[in-house]
Amino acid sequence: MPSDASQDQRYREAAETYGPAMERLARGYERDAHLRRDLLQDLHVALWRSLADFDGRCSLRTWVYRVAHNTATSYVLRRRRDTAGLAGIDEIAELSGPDDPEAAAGARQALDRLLALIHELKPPDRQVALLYLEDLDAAAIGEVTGLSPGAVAVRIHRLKAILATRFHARRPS
Amino acid sequence: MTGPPDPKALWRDQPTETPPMTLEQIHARGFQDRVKRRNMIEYVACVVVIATFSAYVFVLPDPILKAASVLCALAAAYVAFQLHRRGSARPAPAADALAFHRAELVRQNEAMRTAWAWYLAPFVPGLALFVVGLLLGHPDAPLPWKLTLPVLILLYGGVWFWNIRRVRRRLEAQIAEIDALRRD
Repeated sequence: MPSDASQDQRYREAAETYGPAMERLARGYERDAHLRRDLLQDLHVALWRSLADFDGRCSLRTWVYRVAHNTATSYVLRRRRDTAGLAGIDEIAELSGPDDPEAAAGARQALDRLLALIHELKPPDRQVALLYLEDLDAAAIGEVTGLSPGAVAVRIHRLKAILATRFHARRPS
Repeated sequence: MTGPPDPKALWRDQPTETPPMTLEQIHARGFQDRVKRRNMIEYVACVVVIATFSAYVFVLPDPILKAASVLCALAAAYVAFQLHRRGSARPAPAADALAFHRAELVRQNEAMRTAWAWYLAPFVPGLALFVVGLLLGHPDAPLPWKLTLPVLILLYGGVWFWNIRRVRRRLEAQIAEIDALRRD
C-alpha cells in the first residue's frame, strides 16, 4: 500500500496531538517496558496504515482511539490467549477492599496501583477505564468503544466507585 | 494535609518515555509487515503445492506423471527456501531507519528482478514433464484438450510477469523517494 502525502500529513497531526495518549494507552495494555515499546510502534504503524482510509465521518480523535484500542486489544488477546484471569469492572468492585492509605501516599505508588487495576480488567472495561482516565466524556467513549451510552455510564459509575475505594478511602495525613 | 491523588490527573501527568517514531520509521515498519504477510501467503501456497503433488505421486498411475509430480513438489520446496533466503523480512536495527529501509527495498527489488530464475524456472521441468506425460497418455485427444495446460501455464506466467513488473516499478519509485530525501 503506497503512502500518499495526505496520509502522512494526517498521521503527523494525529501523532503530534495524540502521541502521549497513545503511549499512556500502551502502558495500560503492557507492563513490560521493552514489549511496550514494540506495542507502541505497532500502534503507530496501525494508525498510519489506517489513515489511508480516513474519511472524516468521525473525528480524528475517535479514529485514533478506535485504531489504538483495537490494535492493543488484539495484542492482549494474542499474547494472552487465556483471558480467564481478567475481570470485569463489577467483579473488581466486589474484590475491592479498603486500601492502606500509606501505600497511596506517593504519586508513583498511586500510579502503579492504578496501572495494576487497569491490567486486571477485561478488554471492553479496560477501554472504558483508559478513555475515562483520558477525560473523554461518556458520549465520546461510546463512540470509540461502540458501547451504548447507558453501558458506558454504568461502567464509569462502577469505575469511579472502585477508584474512590482505592484512592480516596482515607486521606493520608 | 495531603489530598488523595486524582486518578485522571495522575494518569495524564505521566511523563512520556518513548521518543516518537519518524515517518521514515513508520514507512519502513509498514513495508516489513507487508513483506511478512506476502511471504506467509507464499509459504502456505508452497505447502499446498507440495502436499498436492506428493499425493499425485501415489494417486496417478503413469510413471511420467509420477516423476513430474516429484519434480513439482521439489520445485515448491526449493522456492520456499529461496523465498526465505532472498525475500524474508529482517529485524530492523535501531539506528538509521532510512538506510535500512532503502537496503530492504533494494533487496526486495533484486529478489523480484531474479524471480524468474528462482521462482518460475524450478517449476518448468516438472510442468513440462506433466504436459509430456498427459500428451503421451492421451495421444488421440483433440488439439484444444492438448493445448489446455500449456496455454494455462503461459497465461499464468504472463500475469505473473506483469505483476512483478508493477511491484518492481513501485519499489523503484520508493527507492528514488528515499534517495531524494537523503539529498535534501
